[in-house]
Amino acid sequence: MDLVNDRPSTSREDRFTGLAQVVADPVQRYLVRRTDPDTAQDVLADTFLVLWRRLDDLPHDDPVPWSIAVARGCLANARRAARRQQRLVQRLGQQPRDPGQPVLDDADLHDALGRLPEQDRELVQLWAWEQLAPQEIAVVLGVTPNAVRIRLHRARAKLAELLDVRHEDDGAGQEQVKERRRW
Amino acid sequence: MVSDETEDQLLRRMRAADPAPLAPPSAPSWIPDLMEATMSTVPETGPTSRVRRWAPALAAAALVAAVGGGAYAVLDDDREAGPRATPEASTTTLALPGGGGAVSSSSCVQFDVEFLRAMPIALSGTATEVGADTVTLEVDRWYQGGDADVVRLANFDPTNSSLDGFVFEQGQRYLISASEDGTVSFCGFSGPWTASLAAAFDEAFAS
Repeated sequence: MDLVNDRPSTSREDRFTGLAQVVADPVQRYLVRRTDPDTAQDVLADTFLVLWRRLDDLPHDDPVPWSIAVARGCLANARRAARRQQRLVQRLGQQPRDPGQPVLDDADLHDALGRLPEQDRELVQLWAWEQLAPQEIAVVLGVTPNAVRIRLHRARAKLAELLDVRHEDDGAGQEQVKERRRW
Repeated sequence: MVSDETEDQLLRRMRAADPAPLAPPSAPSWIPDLMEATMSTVPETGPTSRVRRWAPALAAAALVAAVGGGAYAVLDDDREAGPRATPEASTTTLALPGGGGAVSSSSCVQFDVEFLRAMPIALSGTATEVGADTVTLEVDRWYQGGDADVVRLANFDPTNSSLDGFVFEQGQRYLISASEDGTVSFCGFSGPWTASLAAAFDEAFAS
């Protein structure tokens, strides 16, 4: 189903509206998961300006990963702009997370995600929250699907270790846990 | 290796913590408003026109001299030291981002009035001199943040090919916005003077 590129003679407005119907909600949720509501709203507007300008660059298949890639870039710009504003006001040390990042109800998970390197965190989030397949994650991050598979595998392992994941009904105790950690 | 079970557990735990868990049953009602706002903000450009834009600003040396009232000397002018008795053309120096770095311009927006409004320094000026690494602008209008007659943009690398953007040409008029530390803002927040960009500057700094 190609909502957007069906008829070449369709007006830009129609194509854009078609695109919006498909990607607006996933893009908005992508942003809400990664920053505060105000920034999310601003960046959503930025993203749609770019999508409007670059409508002819739209891939012919699923537009969602590509649109998320644009949103990701716009979010990075917004964060850079915010940091520039702050730079003279206070000397920021190495901040592990963007201050606008939503705080998760699961405090341990929030903490563990914060301790992951940024790309690992993004990989795990795209996998678990956006539920994108490796080839779709590849579009968002601008890398190959194979690289995604390898790095995602490692990122999940790091996260699991940070969370000290244990088998829920583990009756066998330490031995089994040790076994599972050998990755 | 992460076992399948651990992977499942991880997935379940992540999903349980999803900050945006619920998808609306149909397309959200705010979409038409957003579309309307988007399509009315940017004048439609043809598919073949390539608007050249700067890549996002990278870290740069800030070389801001004093901005504002009176005749402050440029940093690199050794003869001057502080305000003069008879003010001549006051000069301010702003910094362009230096250096390369592969930065994709694909995610730059053309402009956004809200971001523009946040810029403490904004002006319109004509390039009177384009040197090896500086550009001198004769200011015709300050929107915000200063009143010098001349602005010098320093740390300028005309050969920087990672910057997919506009070039400075002598005699061309430009709209420039910069952050508090004097770093010129790109990604559409500065550029050759056009009616639409000027309109955005007007709107951003209206009050």
